[in-house]
Amino acid sequence: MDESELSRSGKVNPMTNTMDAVVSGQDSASAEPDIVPAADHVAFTYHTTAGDRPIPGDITFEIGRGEFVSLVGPSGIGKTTLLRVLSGLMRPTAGEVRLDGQRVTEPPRQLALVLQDYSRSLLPRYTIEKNVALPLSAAKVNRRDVRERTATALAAVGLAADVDKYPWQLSGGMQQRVAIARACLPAGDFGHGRTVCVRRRPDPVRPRGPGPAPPPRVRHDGPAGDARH
Amino acid sequence: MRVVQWVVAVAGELWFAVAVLAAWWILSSGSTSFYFPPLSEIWARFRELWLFEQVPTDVWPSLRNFSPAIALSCLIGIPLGVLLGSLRTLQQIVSPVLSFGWALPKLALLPAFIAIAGIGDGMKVAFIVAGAIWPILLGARDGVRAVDPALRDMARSYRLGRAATIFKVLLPAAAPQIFAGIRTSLAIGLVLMIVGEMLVASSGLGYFVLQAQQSYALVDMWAGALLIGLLGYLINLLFSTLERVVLRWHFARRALHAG
Repeated sequence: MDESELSRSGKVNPMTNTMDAVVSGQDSASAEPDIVPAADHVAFTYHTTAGDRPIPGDITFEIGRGEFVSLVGPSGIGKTTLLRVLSGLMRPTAGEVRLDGQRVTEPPRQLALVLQDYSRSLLPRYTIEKNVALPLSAAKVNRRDVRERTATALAAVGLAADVDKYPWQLSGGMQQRVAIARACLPAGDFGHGRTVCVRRRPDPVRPRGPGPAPPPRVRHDGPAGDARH
Repeated sequence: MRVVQWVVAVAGELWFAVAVLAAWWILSSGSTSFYFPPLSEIWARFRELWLFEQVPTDVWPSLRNFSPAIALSCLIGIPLGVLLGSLRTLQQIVSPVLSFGWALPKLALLPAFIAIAGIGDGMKVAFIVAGAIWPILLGARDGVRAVDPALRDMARSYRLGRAATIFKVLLPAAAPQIFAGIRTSLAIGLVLMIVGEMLVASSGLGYFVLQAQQSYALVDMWAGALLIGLLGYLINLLFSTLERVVLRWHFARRALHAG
């Protein structure tokens, strides 16, 4: 990528003001296989009436277990597009995205996505408890487990007291934490440290224990933001 | 305290209507015109007719056609609208036909309905549906099309499945527009109900009003018109209440953002 850069580091920077993130966690059922997201000559082009608009293309990389990856670049360069392609929400126009050697065509089960528009991704009709529980309920997890795990997740992001509130009654930061709790929940469980969470500056969420592959991230504050931290 | 607030709210809502009625009552009280009888006479007749002697013969037949027609319009219109809103290609293909169906004055179809379905209750229900279904269908379609892409991404990335996506994400998000569609359908349905009864019926409110006019019972005619107006108002009121209950989250959220 010419203008964006993919930076790697072994540890999580607690001060990052992350906006989008792909969180890959491990399914508690699967034993020990590493979750290795990989991109193989991935390119994406928007076909618009104003002409084709490619994002910087031919991206190839592999992310290993325990690696933490940030994706940095100026706005409009295609960071979110790349994340949408990596997560299976959009097909690449060239190349291939793989997770554990499997080609990604739809959002895979082991992947959790916290979108940039976190507040718009919450359902206004449901309390935050129901919002967080939704993916589990859809996955046919039994009701008692859903309630327990939801409570743990919301407690982990510091929203235990607000379970009965609606998303639109919360601040933007709190809404983001709801989205994070929802993203982390199906992948693992908070109590035993299999989950990777995204942190946000004002109200850090602590991942517990040694997690599996940490998330590649898109940072919308660019390299200048790096210098600040 | 709440009672006082409620009384103030109701008074705020109704004072103008009461003033209009009072003006009508006073201005018409000395009327000797055959066409504009005093409101006091209309009211007296209204009570004789509608409380509740003629209710089974004239009001009930009307509602018996109207209610299932609206229910049927919802049952067909909402799923069809959701389908069209979800499948862009399909919606592009049928959109001209929809616009035509919506624009066509349904009264133009009445002769065809009579020819095909006769003059029974089934025909009247079908006729009301033919007019009332459009706003519901289009409301559902537009509501689903306008669902926030972030919500669609969420549903896909969490693999919610088709049923959960439709019932937990798409329908609630489209609900405000669906309700707006139903509200319009109620008004259209009422008009078609009355017209249908005026032209082909031997009972119902439309039949009653026209019959009264043709037999020079103008007081009866006015009493019937008054009842039809009140009925429309009450249906709307009932529906607003239902809307406020079902879409409580929507109104609460909007109030919060406005305030």
